[in-house]
Amino acid sequence: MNEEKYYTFGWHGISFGIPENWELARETGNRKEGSVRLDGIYAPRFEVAWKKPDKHYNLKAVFGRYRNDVEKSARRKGQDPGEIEILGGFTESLPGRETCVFRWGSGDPVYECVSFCRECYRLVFMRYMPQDDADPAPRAKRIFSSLRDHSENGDELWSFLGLHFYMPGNFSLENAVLNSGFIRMDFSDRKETVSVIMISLAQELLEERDLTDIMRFYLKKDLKHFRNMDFKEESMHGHAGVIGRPVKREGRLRRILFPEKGCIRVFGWLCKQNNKIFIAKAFSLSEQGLDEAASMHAHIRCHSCS
Amino acid sequence: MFLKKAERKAVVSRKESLNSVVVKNEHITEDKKENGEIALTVEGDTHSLLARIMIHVFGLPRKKEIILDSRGSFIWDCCNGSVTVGEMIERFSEKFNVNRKESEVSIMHFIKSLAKKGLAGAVIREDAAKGADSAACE
Repeated sequence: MNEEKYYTFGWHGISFGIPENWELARETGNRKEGSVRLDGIYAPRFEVAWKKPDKHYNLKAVFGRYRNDVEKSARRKGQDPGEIEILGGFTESLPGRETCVFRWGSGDPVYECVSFCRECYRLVFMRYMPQDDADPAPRAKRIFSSLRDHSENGDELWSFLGLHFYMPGNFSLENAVLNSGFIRMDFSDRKETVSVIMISLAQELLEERDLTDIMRFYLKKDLKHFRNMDFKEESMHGHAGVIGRPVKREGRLRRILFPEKGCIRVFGWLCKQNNKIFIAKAFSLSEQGLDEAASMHAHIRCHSCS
Repeated sequence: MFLKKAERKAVVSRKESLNSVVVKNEHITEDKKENGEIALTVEGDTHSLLARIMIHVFGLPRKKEIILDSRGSFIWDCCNGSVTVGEMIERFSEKFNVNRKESEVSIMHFIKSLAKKGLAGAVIREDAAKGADSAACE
């Protein structure tokens, strides 16, 4: 029997392993409070919600409220909540957390996990909905026990439709365009901003124009204050790529009259294995900050071996 | 009394839509070009008197030509009534090296626009819908 392939999915600092064919279908909220839904081929399979608990936190009380909500919503949808069975020994591999795992519903039971981490002070609710799965309990155990609600080294994983990268925890997601074929995520840390772009059907796009033109097109707004950019070819992640830096304005008077508004560096490369173009933009008010922000392009995983 | 009863929209599950097949409009002529692109020619409505007057007065074309690019032509070729939407998605993601979910979203959108323009329509096969229920695809 072939073993199912898993990958690590991450969003707003929460990461867990899920089967290869599950993809993000809906996301809401921010780092403090939010949720994601992951769909399989035919139906929603997994939901995760997180929030900061009240001051007087008590897992038993949280679990009790959550349990009542589950029962109520199931009845509203015309489902039979059946008996709620609390499952022990499910999450021994989650040290430093208070967890409670339970199963409810007749027919295909739904697996739920409520977890609280004292370190990042977040409550995480996970729900796994098995759909004709032969053996859902081991799968639920594998997913629940792979939960990481904060990273050890400070870098947080973000993943969406084949785009996987790590971003330092102090960078928050400011804006995201999550379309099929075009993904753009903008992160900011007050002084520095980093944008990550992934474009599909790269070979087809490159038939009409070159990589530099594509980068100029998708970063049109970002480069409007940097009219003279110098693009140099350079290898990135083992692929042919381009690095763009602004050309310094000549003449002292020009520099005084038209001062540069910060520093920018752009990176772009074509990953032939995935047929995708990756673009990373780093912007900072200082040259030193730019080097730090620019180093983040190295954390983008464009194909499995990078 | 004067209020119209809201029409109930048929609810199609994701399983059913993925197991449906797409059929082309028979009244459309297609022409395959050398570069692989397909040109679809749609005959305008010239039967009604109003349409004929409009064509004469405003000089509207009697035929409309739609040119599909390489991706659109690939999907159009799959719209033969035997390839299911699910298979179409698999083939598309394999051919163009695109993530499955990405190709699903794009193909669904393309099929919808084909249906809106009256170029093709989706048919839910009863046997396929039943088969999908029993097949453990994941």
